[in-house]
Parts: sequence; C-alpha cells; structure tokens
Amino acid sequence: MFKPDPFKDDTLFEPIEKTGRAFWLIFGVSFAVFVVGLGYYVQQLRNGLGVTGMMQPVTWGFYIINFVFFIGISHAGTLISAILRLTQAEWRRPITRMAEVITAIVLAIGGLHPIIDLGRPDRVLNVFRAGRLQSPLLWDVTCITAYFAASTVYLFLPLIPDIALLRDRKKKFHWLYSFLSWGWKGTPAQWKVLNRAINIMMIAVIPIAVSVHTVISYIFAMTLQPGWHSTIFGPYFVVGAIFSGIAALFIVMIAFRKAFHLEGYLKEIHFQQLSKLLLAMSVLWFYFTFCEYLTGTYGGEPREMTTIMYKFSGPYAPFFWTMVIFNFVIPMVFLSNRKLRKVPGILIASIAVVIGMWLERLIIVVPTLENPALPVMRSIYIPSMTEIALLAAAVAVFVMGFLGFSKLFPLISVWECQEGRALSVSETSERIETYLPDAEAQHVRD
Amino acid sequence: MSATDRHSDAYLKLIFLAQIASITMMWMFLVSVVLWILHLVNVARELHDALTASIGLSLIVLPAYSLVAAILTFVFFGLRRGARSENDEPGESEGERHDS
Repeated sequence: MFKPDPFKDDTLFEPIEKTGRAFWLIFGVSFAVFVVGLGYYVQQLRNGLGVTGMMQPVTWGFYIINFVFFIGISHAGTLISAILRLTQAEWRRPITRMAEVITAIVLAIGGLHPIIDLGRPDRVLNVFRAGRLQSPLLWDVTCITAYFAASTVYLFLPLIPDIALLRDRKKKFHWLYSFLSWGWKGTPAQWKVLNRAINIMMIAVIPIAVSVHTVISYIFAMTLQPGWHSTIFGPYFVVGAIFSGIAALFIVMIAFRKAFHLEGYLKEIHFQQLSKLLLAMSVLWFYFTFCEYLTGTYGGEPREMTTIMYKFSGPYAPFFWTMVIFNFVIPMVFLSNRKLRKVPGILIASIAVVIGMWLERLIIVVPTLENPALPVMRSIYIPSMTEIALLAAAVAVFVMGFLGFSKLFPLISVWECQEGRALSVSETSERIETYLPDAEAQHVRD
Repeated sequence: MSATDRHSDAYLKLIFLAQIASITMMWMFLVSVVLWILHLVNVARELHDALTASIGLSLIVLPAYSLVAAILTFVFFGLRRGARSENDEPGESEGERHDS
C-alpha cells in the first residue's frame, strides 16, 4: 500500500514553513495596488459609472473585457489538469495543483467583474428576485457558480492527502489542517474513496468547464450585433480560454520555480511537453480567428464590414495586429524552434499570449459597440483611471491569492510526486506492454 | 483518562462538528439554488415567458450542483468509514484506479 511520507520532499513544504523578505515585498506591493483599486471603486460607488470611460452606446468596457479574460484564464486549471489526469500523462504530477489553484482564484476575480460593471452592486439582488432564466446573462451566473463549486471541489479532493501531511508535520495551523484533512489516515479504504471521487470529478468538470466559456460567448453571439452574431463564437471562446490559461500557467510555474528553487520538480521536460500544447492552441486560435473574419469579409454585409474594417485598418488596427503578432507570430517563433523553446523563450511567448488574449477580448467587446446598428451618435471608448486601477487591482488580488495559497498549502502535489516515484514507473511499463501488439499475433502471420 | 486526552477529545469533537457544519452548508447552498431556480421558473410561468427554456436550463444546472454536493458527502463519510477499517482490502494501483 502506498503511504506518503510527511518528512520527505522538504523543498515543497519550505514556502509554507519559511517566509522570505521577497514574499512580504511582493505581497505588500500587491496589497498597495489593491487598496488603490479599492479607493477608486469606492469613488465609483459614490459617483456612479460616470467615473468610467463607458457611455452611450459603449456600455461595456474594461469590466466586461476583464470578466471574459479572467474566466478564460480559469480554463488553465481544471480543464488541463482533468485532461492530463484522464489521459494518465505522468508528467502532469508537478503541474496540476498550480493549474487548479489558478482556476479557483481567477474564477472568483472574474465572477466579481459583472457586479463591478453594474455600478450599483445592490442590483445584483434582482437576479435572485426576478431573473429571467432564458437570458444568456443568467446562464452565465448559473454556469460560473457551478464551475466555481466544481473546480473548488476538484482542487480540494487531491489536496486532502497533502493537508494530512501538513497536519502530521505539526508545524503550524494544526487546527486548520485537522479540520480540512477530514480524518485522512491513508488507509486502503480511504484511498479507494478518494480516487473514485477524483475520477468522477475529473470527468464531470470537463463538460462544465467547456460549457462555461461557451455560455460566456453567448452573451455576445445571441445578439444580432455585427461582429458578435457568430455560430463559431462558442468553440472560439473555449479555444482562446484554454490558450490563455496555459500561458498564465506557464508564467506562474516559471515565477514559483525561480522563487522557491523548484527546478528539481518543474523540469525542462515539463515545459517542453506543455509548450507543445501551447503551440497547438496558438495554431488552433489562428484557425478560428481566420474562419471568423473570412466568413464575415466574404459575405461583405455592409454593417459587418464596417466593424471588420474598424479592426483591420481603423482605430482598432494597432490592437488587432498586435493581437495577431502576440497570439500567433511570437508563439510560433519561440515555440516551434527547438533552440528557442527553453524556459526564457516559453516565458516570452506566454507573456505575449496573455497580453494578446486580453487584446482579443478588447477587440471583441468594444468595436461592435462603437459601431452601433441604430442611427445614434458614435463615440470612442477611452478607459478612465478607475477602470485601469481596477484592472491592476484584479491582477494584484490574483498575486495575493496565489501567494496566500502558497503559504498554506503545497503548490506541487507532494503525495502525487511521491506516488509517481514509488508506483508509476512499474505501472507505466505494464501499461505500455498492454498497448504493444502481441508477439503471438506476429507468429500467426508468419 | 488524562487531562490532555480529554482536551484532545474535545478538540477532535469540535473539529468534527465544524466539518459536519461545512457539509451541511454545502447542502444548504444546494437547497437554496433549487429554491431560487424554482422561483425563477415560477416567475417565467406567471409572466408567460418561455417556460420551457427555464425548465430546460434547470435540468442542466441542478445535476451539476447536486453532483458536487453528493461527491463531497460521499468523500467525507467514506473517509470517516475508511479511517475505522485500517486492515480491509488492499489499495488500488494507478491502472485499476483509471479502470474503475
């Protein structure tokens, strides 16, 4: 029977048990940014949405862009982790936890943005009192809360054996780890229950994750607006979400690898394997973007063309072409070349993709609103300092959330690493044996 | 029984009660979601406002919430039962786990 050892892999417990000066510095800076953002939000609460750059007809700006962007990043975790577990990819072991944590934190951040966008947060109660279930906005509410619940449980279940290890090390927060470990002793019966639950969740969470970003695309695609009314928006959004999620995962992996000296756990091979997935997603993203704009341009419908040209050669052209360079050209250069596909190259490509995907959300949301179908006055959306400060605050909350998690729980699954060392080499060899054609089959042919 | 043991017993009991409370909260959350969706379906019925769409969405959403609550309950009580039976069947291998 496999039993993880609480006194092995000390490197993975070090971030929890020791706190360096850099931690407090980064946390302090993030907290300061958050406080500034909070100040701007209070100002918005007092004065209304007039303090933002939004106006008629551009009624969605940074808040909705950030909402779509953060929910997209959340696909890093659950989806990637679930798919890697499902396919029994052994290299997943040091990666899955970080991915799952990203999901839980950014979902909470992203989910709050529509409430910020409401201007008056008390109006969110109308959703509970008199919401209309046939509205895509309410589909978002239900899907995101279901995804948040499912991904939190999917983060928690594989965390239980590690929480028990922390409890058994008896360093600090013993009460918290006793509470969260649910009486874990690592008996065979407990392993059986836990593995069964993780298996069910890893399958259930995939359709939930896919449905979430499909439904988010529906708030655009269900309208008849040029640039939004598209049948491929669902899969296009899902592809973009997984793409930005992997890039965000890379940034977090590289930062924590450097900060906590995790080079022995997050090896070059992990980056190589995951970078192939990022490259594939870049190509897929380009394919969807090409399809989306080709059909619009070929049809040549005047209103659709106005929006498209607004992006290709109008005021949004710098953003559009930067997006293409950041999401396709830079990843292609750095990830398809074996010499450049090292950690620094992957980091450059990942940062480019995260910025590029944010620009993509900007390009989807704003140009359509700046070119309204009705004959009303047009206007250019320029974000105010409030919106910029709240974007910075959202990023700061993400950093603080991740740092906070790293102070309480291991960012790399300790028991999965130990299980991998103890069992997976022989089990993988046995599994590979079953894939290979039988030697007898060759004899029969001869 | 020593004072330390009694303290330890009380400590464990308190933690157990907190765990039960957290599971109960999960079920209360599920019940609130069900009540909320039933309320919205009723509003749609009263307003003659695409009732079938509302029912259709409820049928998709409610199983997702129920699954999460059921899994948590299954794990919580499964782990407690498993902790009591130290010497039962042997642990599963990775391959067996994925087959199940």
